[in-house]
Amino acid sequence: MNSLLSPDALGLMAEVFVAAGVEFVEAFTIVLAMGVSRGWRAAFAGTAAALLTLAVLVAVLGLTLRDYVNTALLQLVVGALLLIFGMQWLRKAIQRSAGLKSLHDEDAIFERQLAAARAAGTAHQLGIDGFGFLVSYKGVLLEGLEVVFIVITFGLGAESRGMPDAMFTASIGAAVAAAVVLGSGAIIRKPLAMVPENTLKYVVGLLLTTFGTFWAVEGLGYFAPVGVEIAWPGADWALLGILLAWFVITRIGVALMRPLGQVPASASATEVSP
Amino acid sequence: MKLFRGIWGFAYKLIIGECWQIAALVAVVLTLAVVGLRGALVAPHLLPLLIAAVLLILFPLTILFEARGKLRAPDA
Repeated sequence: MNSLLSPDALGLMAEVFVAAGVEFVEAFTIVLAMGVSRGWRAAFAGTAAALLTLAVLVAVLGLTLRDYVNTALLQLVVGALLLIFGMQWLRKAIQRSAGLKSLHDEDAIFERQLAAARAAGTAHQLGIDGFGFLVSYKGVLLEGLEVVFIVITFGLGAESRGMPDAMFTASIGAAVAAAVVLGSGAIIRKPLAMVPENTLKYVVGLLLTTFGTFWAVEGLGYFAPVGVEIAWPGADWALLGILLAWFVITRIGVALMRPLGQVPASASATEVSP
Repeated sequence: MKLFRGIWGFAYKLIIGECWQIAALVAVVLTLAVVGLRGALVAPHLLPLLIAAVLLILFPLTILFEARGKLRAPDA
């Protein structure tokens, strides 16, 4: 319990809370839209099924990865996935800053989901609306898997710095985020549009890309000839340099893309998307 | 078949997302790094900085080309 209240543990929980919270807000918007339009039974059933799938995946993958997969190979695979996720988030952040994409708007997404749900036909199975169930299931599973990666990223990062029970601590950060988002949503019963998602996603994108770069490179050690080690100059301090480099490159990206965002609205690729 | 398509679509959306060029960039850079490492074409101590530099340079160019492509074909 004491270790959970240490400054390092609280910092880790805060990082995971913010990153996972953004994902939970998106999942909540989808479930809310399905609940309102297709019925709460299907929305809750889809959510519960997705959470169960996630729990099984985490349990099976967690055991397999820990016991059977080489650490360097794991770093390479997780690092590559984080790089892809992080760069996708940064791409959206750059496009939004450059005016090529609308700012992420939970209200607009909610309305779009609502319209799609109302337009869909009705097909009940076991007394549950199939469309509401499937959309809720896919939404929660997709965002939930990203949360799993976030927990692994921040947990492994803290573990490599010597923090005890880092993965457990990171999981608590994610669980608190889920409780806060769902609790807030249950109270106000509207999309959580006041959350500054665009800024948070940019920051989290920078962090995911930074850790992804760091681990993917270290993980290449798996393929190195015997006796050859792949290590960053400055060890863990390299993370700061990588973070700074990605920050600078995203600002350059915004500057490069801005002229494209100033073309007439009819020709631009402006869109609202997660 | 429908289930397989559903799983494939889900995995594609999760991993590759809206911009396949980013996933391709990561895959190609890491594959080339493995080839360079195995073939002793790159000094191992230079590899981290080289990979970071390549990713940092190619990332903005990738999304720039993607955006230009979309603008050229707005209906696509």
